[in-house]
Amino acid sequence: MRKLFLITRPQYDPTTHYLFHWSQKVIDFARKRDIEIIDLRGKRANKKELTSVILKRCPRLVLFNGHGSEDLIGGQDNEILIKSGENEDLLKDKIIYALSCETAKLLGPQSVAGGTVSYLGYDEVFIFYYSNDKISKPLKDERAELFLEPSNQVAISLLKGHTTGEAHQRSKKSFLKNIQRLLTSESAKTYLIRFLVWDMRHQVCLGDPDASL
Amino acid sequence: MVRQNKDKGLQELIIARLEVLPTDARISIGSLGNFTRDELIIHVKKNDKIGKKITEVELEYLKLLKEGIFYEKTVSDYQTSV
Repeated sequence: MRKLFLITRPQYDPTTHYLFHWSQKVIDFARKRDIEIIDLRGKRANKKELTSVILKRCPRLVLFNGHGSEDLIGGQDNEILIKSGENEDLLKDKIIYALSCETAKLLGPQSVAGGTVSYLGYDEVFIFYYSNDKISKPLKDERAELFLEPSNQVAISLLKGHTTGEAHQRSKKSFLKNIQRLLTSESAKTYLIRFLVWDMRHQVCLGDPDASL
Repeated sequence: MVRQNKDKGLQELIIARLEVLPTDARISIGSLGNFTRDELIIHVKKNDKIGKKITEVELEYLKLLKEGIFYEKTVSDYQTSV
């Protein structure tokens, strides 16, 4: 049976625009591995469609991109997709990676308590830097790459078959590699280190660290 | 008075650290928004929600530097406790 995963990719402001394009790398990786993808992009990143797809297709892995807060994950135009105490049961029996601010503070632990297998996300705001002249070509933005490539490592590791705990560690190693590269070079981008350290430290893996696809 | 001076000193420190940020880029702080260097400095001066968050980021990093973060050997040493 083919592996299957669901991804949400709203696109309506600079932050979601960058996440939209950088998550395309995960999709491309999955395609090469013949993994089936349900891509809720742009306007399709809404609660109705998400609910319908999860109930019908039961994907084992769900990747969220978009704005969030302690108790919710947003979709297109910040429509609430998942909210703690309302519909986090949709995440039951699933592996989640939320590239979304702060959701691992409350939504993550509550969904794990309700049966989510493993929840990877951030217990603080996710910060990244981007260059003004690269907004039309986000994948060419070397500043953003330092942040978003390590984030992608979570999803790519999971798709390769690694466990959630391993995916978490591999992502953090990728952050660390970028930090060390900036520290040991004559790069003018050393000012980014503080933000990379922040993201690395605040990525968490809740629930079962031995789960895999 | 001592507290006021301490807060002012802290604010000056954070602003000095932000002044090294480039002017040709913006920072995305999730749902708080996207900011230029100068906008960040204004928020720190106002001591509003965004200013407080960026101050928290800077202070956490300075604390880790003091603790010798870059001398640690394992990735797990960089993990927050949940």
